[in-house]
Amino acid sequence: MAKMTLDDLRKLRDAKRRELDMRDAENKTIQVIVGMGTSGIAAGAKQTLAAFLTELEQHGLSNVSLRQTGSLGLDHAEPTVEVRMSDMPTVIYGKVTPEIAEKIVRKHILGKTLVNDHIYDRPAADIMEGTK
Amino acid sequence: MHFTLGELLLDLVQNAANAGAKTVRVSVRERNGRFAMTVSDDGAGMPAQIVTRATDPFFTDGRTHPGREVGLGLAFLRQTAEATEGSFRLQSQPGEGTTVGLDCPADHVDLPPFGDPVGCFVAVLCTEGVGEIEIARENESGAYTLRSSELEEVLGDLSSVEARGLLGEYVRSQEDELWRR
Repeated sequence: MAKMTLDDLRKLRDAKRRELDMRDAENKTIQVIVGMGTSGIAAGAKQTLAAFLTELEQHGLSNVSLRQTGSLGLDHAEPTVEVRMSDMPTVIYGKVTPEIAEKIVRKHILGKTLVNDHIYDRPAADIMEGTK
Repeated sequence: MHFTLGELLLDLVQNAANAGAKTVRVSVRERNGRFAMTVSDDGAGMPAQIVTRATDPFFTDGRTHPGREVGLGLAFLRQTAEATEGSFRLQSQPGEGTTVGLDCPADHVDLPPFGDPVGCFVAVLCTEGVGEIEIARENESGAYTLRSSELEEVLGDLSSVEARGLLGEYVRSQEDELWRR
């Protein structure tokens, strides 16, 4: 791949925007938040993040915001991932390998069905309060 | 345990974000047979009594994760420096920020691989809560710099799937060029 300039990147973005009718961040209705603290990284959170990106791109899910944060507080279950979307309870999935990441996209986000065997928690009440 | 230097780097940047940094500067250099990695931030910083204990794996200031009794990020970095006969640097001033660095022989048998630089740099640039993140990358044949503000100006919200994909393509093109020469 030839070295890109910021102008090349801008042109690529414009082309992609036309192609996908990309929406603004405000219109993102689904949030996938990957815990990238020390234990998450050690357990493979970066590979999990990459798997989400690949799967979301493959399904053309432009209404998903893929975010990263520090530890979600469940070190024994890393990599951990929180999924927030309307019409579904907010949950934290644990032991999310790249294979489980694909499953979360297909079942939870597309199929609106919880991946029950990987649910470890839901955010504490004070965190939920802060997001209202 | 962290298996790559990229994972160590991600950990250090997350530490900086947790310290409330507005600006984080990262440098990753491979020159003259040495590998050097530095993360500087303008976050809360640490007083001297904390700095002396910060690389003890059984010490944590308890602010980020109340109740947790270990802190492993800096300990891993120091361990890597010692295993590779390299040097480890930790400088911090309360209210001014922290600089953490590793410098070691690039061909040391115990130096972990860097791993996936593109994925690592994208994750660093997408770290939330930091105003500006700058990554300076350099090897014998060239250099490039990534600034989150410039990239956000072009791509918008870096947490969107499309922006992350394009950001990955951009960083890969910079990295490929660095090793093509």
